[in-house]
Amino acid sequence: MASRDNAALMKREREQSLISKPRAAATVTPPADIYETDDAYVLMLDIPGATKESISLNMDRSTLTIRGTVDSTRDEHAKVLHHEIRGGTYERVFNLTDGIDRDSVEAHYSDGVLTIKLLKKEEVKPRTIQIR
Amino acid sequence: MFVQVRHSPAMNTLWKEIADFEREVDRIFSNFFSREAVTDEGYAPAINVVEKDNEFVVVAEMPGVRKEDVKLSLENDVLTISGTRKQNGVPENARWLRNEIQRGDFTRSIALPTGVKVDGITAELQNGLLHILLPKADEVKPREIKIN
Repeated sequence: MASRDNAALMKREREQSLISKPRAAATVTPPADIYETDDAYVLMLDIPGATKESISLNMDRSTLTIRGTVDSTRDEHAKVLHHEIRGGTYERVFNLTDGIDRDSVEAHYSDGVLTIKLLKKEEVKPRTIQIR
Repeated sequence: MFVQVRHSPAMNTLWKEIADFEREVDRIFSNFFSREAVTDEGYAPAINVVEKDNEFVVVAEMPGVRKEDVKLSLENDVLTISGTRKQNGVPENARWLRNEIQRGDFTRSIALPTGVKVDGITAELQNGLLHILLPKADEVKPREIKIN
């Protein structure tokens, strides 16, 4: 039941082009993993080089937004020989389901990975019905 | 007269070395110029390399990788970063909805510029970034010459 619900829920990421606010071309979209258990959804995002304080996490009625800036490792005095890691602004928006208990969201950042745990509301958790 | 040509052990070693060398060159080139280069050794983490007056700095992306799961090795002026990104703390009954993060084995090799003081190489893993500092040998450091 719950797994069917979520297809329409968090799985869909809002199209960036639908957001009217103009944004810098250099915005990075961090890769994400999401899994579901009986009582929660867990999101993981790779944000190497960030700090706990620099990540902003916002939840409104229907979306969860993760945004921040990673300091560029660029140094004006250094000669760049190879450059693949882009610093700068990153952002990712996820749509939320009604089945989430909005008052019990936990987030922590360690080893460059942001993990967000969204607990489900009691009424959407699977339950076993006893046969009398 | 029929002369049987047989490679001496020394020749065999030489051929093997040439073959090894060719393989190594292929590997370095494929890794250096393309991150997408697929190797048996897994995915290739993104890197930055900069040169400063006194050192070279290599930064590699290692989110979710623990210190004990990374190995740095140096052979013939080629620095290799390898290891495994493990899946930690995911319960057995988890149902995956999205999977964009690469896990498993990774490897990346970088041909070192000349003049690196090999004994002085240090590395630190912090917030998912591995910083490797490669100090330059004194003879390649820029220096100012005083005019008397």
